[in-house]
Amino acid sequence: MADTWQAAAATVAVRECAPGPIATLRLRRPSADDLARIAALIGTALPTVPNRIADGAVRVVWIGPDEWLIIGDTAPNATIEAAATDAAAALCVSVGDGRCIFEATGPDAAELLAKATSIDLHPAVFTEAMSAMTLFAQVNAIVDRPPGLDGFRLIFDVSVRDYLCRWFGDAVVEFG
Amino acid sequence: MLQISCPWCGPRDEIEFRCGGQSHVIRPGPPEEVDDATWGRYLSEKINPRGDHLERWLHAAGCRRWFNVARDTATHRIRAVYHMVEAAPAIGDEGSAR
Ligand SMILES: [Zn+2]
Repeated sequence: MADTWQAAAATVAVRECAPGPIATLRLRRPSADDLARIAALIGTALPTVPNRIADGAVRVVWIGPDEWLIIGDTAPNATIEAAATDAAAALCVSVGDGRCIFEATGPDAAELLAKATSIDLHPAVFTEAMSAMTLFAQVNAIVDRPPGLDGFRLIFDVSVRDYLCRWFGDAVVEFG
Repeated sequence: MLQISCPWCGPRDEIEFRCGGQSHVIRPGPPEEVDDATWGRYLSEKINPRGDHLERWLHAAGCRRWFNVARDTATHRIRAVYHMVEAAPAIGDEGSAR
C-alpha cells in the first residue's frame, strides 16, 4: 500500500497495514457437521464462544452467533459456501478491499485505545485469544491481538480511514 | 451513560445499542382475521410504566442481535438481560435476576 500512514510517540506507535484477504462467513444454525467440514476446508475451527478467535491456517474471529471474520488466504468463497448444507445457507463474502487496518503497539498501546473504547484491554482480561466487535472513536471496529504483535490490531471500514489517521495522530501526542 | 451487558458480547456502552421498545408484545393473527382496531393497538399502544419494564434492545455495533432487558425506568437499574426466546424472568424487590 503506497500511502501507508503512521504516527509514533515515545511509548506507543500506530501504523496502517495492508488489509490482505478478509472474508465474512454467515451460517444459519449450522450443524456440527457443517462446522466440521468448513473447519477442515479452511484449516481452522470456527469459534463458537463470543469474543473469541481461533488460529489455524487462517485466523477466524467470532463477530456474532452466526457470523465470523476469516482473516487470511482460504479456499474460494464459493467452495466454502458449498461445504455447508443448504440448510445452513452459507454466505461467504470478501470484504478486505473495503477495510483498513491499524496496529497500535508499545507499552502504552492499551492506554491509547482506552481513549476511544471502554472495553477492558488489560492483557489479563483481553487475552490473545480474544477479540471484540465494538465502537471505537464512534465508528465500528473489530479489535484483536495478533500473535507476536506487542499491541492491538483494529479493523475498520475503509471509508473512515482519513478520520482515523487524524484521530490517531492527535491521540498519540500526549504519549511524548 | 448506561453500561448494558449484551447476553452474547458482555458489558458495552449504551451507545452501541438501540432500544426497540416494549418486549413480549404478541403479534395478532392470522392477518386476515385481525380488525383495524386490533392492528392499531398492536402497533401503537405500548405500556409506559414507572419502574420495572421489559424492553427489546439491539446490539447494533457488536453482534447485531436483539435481546431483552429488564430495566427500571425510574432509576435505569438493569435487573436482567436475557435472550429473545427466553421467558421474562421473575424480578423480586431485590432484583435477584441476572
Ligand atoms: Zn452483542
